[in-house]
Amino acid sequence: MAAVSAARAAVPIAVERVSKRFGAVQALVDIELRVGAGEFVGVIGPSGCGKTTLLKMIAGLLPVDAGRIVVGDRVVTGPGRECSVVFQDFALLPWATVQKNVEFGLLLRGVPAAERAQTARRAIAKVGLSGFEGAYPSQLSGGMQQRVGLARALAVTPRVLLMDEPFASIDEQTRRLFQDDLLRLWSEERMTVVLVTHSMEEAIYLADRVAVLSPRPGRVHEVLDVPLPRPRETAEVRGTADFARLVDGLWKILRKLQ
Amino acid sequence: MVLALRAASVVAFLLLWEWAARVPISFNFPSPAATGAALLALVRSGAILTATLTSLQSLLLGFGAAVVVGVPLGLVMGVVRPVGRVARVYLDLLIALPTAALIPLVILSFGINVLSSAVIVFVFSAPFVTMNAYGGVRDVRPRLVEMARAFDASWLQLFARIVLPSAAPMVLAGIRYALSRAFVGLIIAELLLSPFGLGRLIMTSRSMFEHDRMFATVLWTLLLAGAALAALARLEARLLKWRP
Amino acid sequence: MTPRAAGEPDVGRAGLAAVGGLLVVWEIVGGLNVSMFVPPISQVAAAWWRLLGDGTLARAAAGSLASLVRGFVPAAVLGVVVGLAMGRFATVRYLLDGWVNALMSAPLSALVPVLIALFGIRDTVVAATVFMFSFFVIVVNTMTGVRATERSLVDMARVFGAGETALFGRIYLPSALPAVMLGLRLGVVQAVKGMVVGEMLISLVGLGERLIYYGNTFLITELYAVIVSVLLIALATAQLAQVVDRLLVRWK
Repeated sequence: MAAVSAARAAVPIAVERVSKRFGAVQALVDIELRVGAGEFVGVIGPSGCGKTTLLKMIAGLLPVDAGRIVVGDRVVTGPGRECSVVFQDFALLPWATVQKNVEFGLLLRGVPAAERAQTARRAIAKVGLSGFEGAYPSQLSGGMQQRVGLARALAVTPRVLLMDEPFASIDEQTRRLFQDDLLRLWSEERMTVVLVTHSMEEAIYLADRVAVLSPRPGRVHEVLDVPLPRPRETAEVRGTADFARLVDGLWKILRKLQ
Repeated sequence: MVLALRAASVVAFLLLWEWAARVPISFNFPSPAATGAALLALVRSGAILTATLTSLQSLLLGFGAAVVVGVPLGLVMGVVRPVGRVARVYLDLLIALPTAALIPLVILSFGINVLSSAVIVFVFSAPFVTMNAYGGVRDVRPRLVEMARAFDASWLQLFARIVLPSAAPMVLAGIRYALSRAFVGLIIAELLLSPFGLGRLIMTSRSMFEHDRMFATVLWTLLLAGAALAALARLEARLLKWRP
Repeated sequence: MTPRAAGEPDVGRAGLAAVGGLLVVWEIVGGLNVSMFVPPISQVAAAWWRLLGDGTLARAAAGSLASLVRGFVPAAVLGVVVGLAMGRFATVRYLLDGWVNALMSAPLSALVPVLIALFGIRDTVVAATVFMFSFFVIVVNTMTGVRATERSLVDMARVFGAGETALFGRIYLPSALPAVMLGLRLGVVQAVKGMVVGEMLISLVGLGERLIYYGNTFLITELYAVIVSVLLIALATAQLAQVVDRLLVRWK
């Protein structure tokens, strides 16, 4: 199931001794994190530990105060073309249809109209929303809106997918289906993924490795390996003893940090 | 049920009106029938249509100018924050104060002509257009700006594809409200200025105690204003059909 | 007090600073003698002082304020009552909201000649205009305030056995009070506008009459002086309304 287009190979991310402060508040200190090309890494930690801040810095939305972040062979100084972001509150344009929303990233990059429309339709089909191209966000459920957000992120064929608690605003049943779809899409595209989450189960289920951040000022406290076999969406991974053990291990780490 | 209640209130109003004419509540108070007849006569003679056209001239001139000046000004105020903070104080003042008090001054400065009425219409409506455009820009959801920035949008792209569509509902609402204010200014100006339009028709009928003609013209004016606002509301709904 | 709404003047430091700046610019432009229609402030101030001294301003202002009170007080009382009824009882709302909404955005000045036909050329017309201008704003805001009362509060009160009177007095009214006060503040601003419009149209009494008179007789500095007086009254009444609101409503 691994079909990788050679022209769009995933890239690694290197977060090198990064620190960030907001006024008098030190949000992150000395963050070291290496994400391999095509790897799926989860980031978890107590509230306020700075995980969203870290993600925004990788995306180039926030500047680093110390250290540097390298995506592929580029040192991050601002938003770039390799990264795509999926937001917790979807960030869809309420005045645009699903089709237009998915085309948005392509539009900003100057892709001509016909190609845009086609690419967007493919992305919409991939997330399972074919037929909804003409709907407006206000007509869709939360889960469907986030699928639009994902389609938009995928339409620009990113090498890095950054996800900021993407399933937090979605009910659990929809969330599980969505997680499986995400794994399926990732195995097809094989881009590098960094997913920020507050759910331990989600982190273990989805990721190859899970980075645990300590409370503010956030540091990388530990990086957990998740040696569960893939593909996970077809196996009954959640029921296995290994899964439970890993989740429990993660919980023990987090509990000590609270 | 709702329809019945609304219909009932209209019927009650008409009955009350008829009663007021029968009493009579004051000298030569016209009944609904008399008003209707006078309106018909006015339309046939063309008097009310010529008056309407003259009035609309001033209205379109003044209101058009208000939109053309007010929208860009409001947008600038929203984008360049310091300008916005200063200008809004003046606009707040302008909106809250009795603009009608400025009418004699305008008439003195510009004379008794269409230009004067247009200026008055402008002063009545421009502040609202501006303030709403300003508010629309200020209230853009920061998340959408962030999302576009994540896609590496340029400033121009941000403005054209995020700020403008986001501000559109408030801008259009401001334009609609400004139109109602424009009518207010127009009517007051014409009632005072007299040589022109619907206001003149109202005043002359009154001074000649032809109250049925006066009522008819007042009714026509209110209906005209209502129709214009309804049309604008329709247009607004069409442009903003994405709203939940 | 609920935050200042669009349609209320800023009588705080920012507002006064803005007016100050305007006065400075005015004095400069006026001094340049650009047009006979822009006299320097010093002349306007002199005219203002003169009119104050010979009692013209006092008489006119007294007449205006009397009409203002005579028109606003009934509008406030009736407006709140009607607004409460419309907010609480759907039947009343369906009966009246068509009229209220239509008249709120209508050019009410068109109805002043009707008022003249009804009352003749008398100062009652001014009070009636004031009433007309402020009534609908008060009704709409009161009604909105009542309708926005949280369902859960009403349910809770009914669970504890509250009857209609208790519901009104202890839930609806306190909950709607900020909105009612906002309506009254906006109503005051509208009332002053109505006062000026009414007086100008009947041209009989008050500051509005003075505006027409000085306009017709080309007495420009006096005209400005009266305009300034009107603006001062507008700002003062708006400020008064905001102060009253702050005193009465402390929990929001």
